[in-house]
Amino acid sequence: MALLDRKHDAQRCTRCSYCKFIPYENMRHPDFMNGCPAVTRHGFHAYASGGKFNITLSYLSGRTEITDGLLEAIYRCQMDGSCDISCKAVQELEPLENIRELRTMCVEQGYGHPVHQLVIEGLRKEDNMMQGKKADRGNWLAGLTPKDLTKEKAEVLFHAGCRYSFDEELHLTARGALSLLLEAGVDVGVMGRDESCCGGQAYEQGYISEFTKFSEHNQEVVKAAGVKTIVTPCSDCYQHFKVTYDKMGKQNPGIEVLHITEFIHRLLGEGKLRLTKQVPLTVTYHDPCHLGRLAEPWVHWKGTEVKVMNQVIVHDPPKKYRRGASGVYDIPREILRSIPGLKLVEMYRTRESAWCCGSGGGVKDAYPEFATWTGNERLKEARAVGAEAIVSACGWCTRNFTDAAEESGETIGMYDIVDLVRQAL
Amino acid sequence: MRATTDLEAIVGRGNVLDDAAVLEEHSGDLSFAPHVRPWCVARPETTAQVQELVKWANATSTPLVPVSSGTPHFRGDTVPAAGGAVIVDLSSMKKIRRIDPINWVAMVEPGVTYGELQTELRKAGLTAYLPLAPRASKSVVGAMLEREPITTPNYHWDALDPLLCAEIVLGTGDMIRTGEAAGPDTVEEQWEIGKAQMSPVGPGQYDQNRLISGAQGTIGLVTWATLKCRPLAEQTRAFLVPSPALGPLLELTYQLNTARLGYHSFIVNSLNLACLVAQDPAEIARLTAAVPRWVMMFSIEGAGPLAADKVEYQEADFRDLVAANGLEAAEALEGIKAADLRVALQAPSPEPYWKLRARGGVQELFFLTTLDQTPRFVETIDGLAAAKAFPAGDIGVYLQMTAQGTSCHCEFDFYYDPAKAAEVAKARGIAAKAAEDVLRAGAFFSRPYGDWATMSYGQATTTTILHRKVKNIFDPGNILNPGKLCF
Repeated sequence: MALLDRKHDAQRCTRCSYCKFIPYENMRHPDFMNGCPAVTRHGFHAYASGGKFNITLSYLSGRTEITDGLLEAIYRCQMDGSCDISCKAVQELEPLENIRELRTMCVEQGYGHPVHQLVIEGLRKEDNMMQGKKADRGNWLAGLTPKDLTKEKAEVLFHAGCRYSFDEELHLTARGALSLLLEAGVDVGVMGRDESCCGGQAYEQGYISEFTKFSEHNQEVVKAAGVKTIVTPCSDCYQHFKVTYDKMGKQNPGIEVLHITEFIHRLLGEGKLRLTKQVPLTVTYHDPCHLGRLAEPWVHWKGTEVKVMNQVIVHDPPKKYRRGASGVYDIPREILRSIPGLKLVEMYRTRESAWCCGSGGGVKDAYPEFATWTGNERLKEARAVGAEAIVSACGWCTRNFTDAAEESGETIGMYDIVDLVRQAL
Repeated sequence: MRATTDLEAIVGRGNVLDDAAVLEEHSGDLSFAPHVRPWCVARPETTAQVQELVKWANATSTPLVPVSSGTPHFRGDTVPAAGGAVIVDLSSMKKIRRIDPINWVAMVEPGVTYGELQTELRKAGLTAYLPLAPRASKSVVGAMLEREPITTPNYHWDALDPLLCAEIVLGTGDMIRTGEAAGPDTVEEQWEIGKAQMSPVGPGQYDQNRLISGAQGTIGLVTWATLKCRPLAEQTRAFLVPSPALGPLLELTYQLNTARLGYHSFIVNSLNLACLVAQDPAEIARLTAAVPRWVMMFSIEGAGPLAADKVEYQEADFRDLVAANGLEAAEALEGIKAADLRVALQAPSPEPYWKLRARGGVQELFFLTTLDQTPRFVETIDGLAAAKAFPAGDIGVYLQMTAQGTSCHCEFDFYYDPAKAAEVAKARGIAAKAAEDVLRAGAFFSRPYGDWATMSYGQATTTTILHRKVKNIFDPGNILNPGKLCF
């Protein structure tokens, strides 16, 4: 894959601007119809996917050079995939792939974002995206003694991920998630301080060689540990283990990848977990992009693009598109509904049309004010539907909502779904 | 001989014509389509009559060939490809049903010509978006359905502009309305609440206009359509920018388009410019020789409270860009006044039609490409003319950016004297070979008339199968203009 492969899509973009909004049929409220945080915040077409198709075409045609303005448009984007869903409702293009290829091109040309470069430097040295020390990676375990998969074997690998490992305010959630598994008698282990980044964020930021290195390392580690299932509380890691690894041919055959919500749901179904305590709270559930629309399994396609009548590009054999409908949406909701006393109310933009928390695509590091602005837009929506708290299933979302609330003075409650499950045990 | 009694029962006795002169008129046109004499001509006046006609045609397996514009016809699409056809002449449906000065929308029947529409629009302070000097008999609805490019690329959002909504009688005899006109509410009820059938997409995300656009009457017959209009200009400026080379004008066009400057904007060669402004062949020859090979026509128009400010700033920006490209903008060129041309572009071509002025006959070749690719095609045609000994001075060129500059209508007009057999043969030969050559060079025949359809569909087997499936849904009896496109 390369930017050149996106040229046909760039030519086919009709500038309809549908990428800026959620699909018509999912619009519920006039205040909450926008889908793309980047263009909603910055206004100009260049910040939308349609604009980035224009950038691609112009760049490939030699009409545009890489400028500071162009880089801003490319990097001020959470890569949350909302545009991808809306576009495929009308055009069947791959705008998210285009944005990723633009970033890869920029990195290859020496135009990686300066902040991303620092983060990637940290990744290279310390195996994580949080600029933490590798030696501190296992600190979140604090007192828990699961199997050490660097020395032992287990059925299940619990992968905490960079965010849960290094964000001290989220350690409790990570421990809670692992405890659920241990208490349910699951044969589970961790890599502890030897756990490595999944490499997914590097991939999104355009650093393909770093992704390759970490994905291959994780592939080997999983194989050596003999695990059958990877479980993670991090939606970001989940999406990359499940989707990106498969897409890039880095998946170990036969290894099951589950998000913690999927595993909890399974344990509830098997009666190994029972939620009995009242949690009297009205909450709304925020669909993390990486657990929702981006988590849809990768659809491999091999074929050729055929230009019909010198104009219309068709795929032979026909290409199947990921439209976001097969993300993990119902399982977290079913868990929440099974908590006694808890009332779940839905926001106006849900499932594949959910508004991003604001954290993705390297925005949290490079443009923190844009990240929190985006998060606050979501908190307003949560308030608008009468929720006392917003629940997410991803550490990146929880962190950014927390930061956004601190910045705006918003007092709505903030929960990781694991925390609510533990309260209900 | 079949009796026309059934048809007379549908459209009225005086509206069925079968005298030899009328049939001869419809049996051929200025293209080289084979002459096929229709059985008769029916002139419906209402949608209900059109529906009845279609149902009758299905029952009797009679081909129907719709036509809205008056003669002369140029592209073979209104000539029957099968014997025994009935020409459905919609030119009697001449009502301008509504002009909405608030929403800048007009609703017209297929027989309305640009001259008739512009007269009425002017009274409401509006003007239509016109193709380049359409012939006086050209149907507004017909031009929109054929996607004739308008001369204002910045106001050409979509390939179908300025078409909005339409009422269509399908090949099944069913009537549907497209876009906002599909409902909810009837058209009249929509008017009552201030709607004007403006949104072309729908129902839902389904865009039925795309089925009928460019279909040459093979999917349905349009009995009315709404179109976008705009306010009459209060302040105007017009310029001609000559250049011996095409390159600088292309660059300028892109720059003007990027800044969304101007109203009319297109490039013609000196021959086509001369044909647009002069009537006499001798004057056309003089102007062609005197004017540099390429000329851009550019106008700025303003209406409303800031009209003068708009025109002033756009002119300043325009002049800066012209100078930056080493060009000069003129208000007059060899006696051709840009302001006069601008006015002429608001109306149909005076008679004789401008494409018939130079030599009396024309073979058109047009297709879509992008503006930056046009020099390649010009080179191809120049080379072909030299090889075929076709006079380069008899080839007109018209380059029209469309769809906000994303696409370009590239047209070559091969002029010839229809009274001279040798010239006819030469024009026919070069037009056919040129079509093959430009197709090989990447031309997109978005409106494939005649042999262009054979060439285009011949390269697209799966598309042909798909188009036939779609046609079979809307015209299962294949009674609508059979033999056209891939049907």
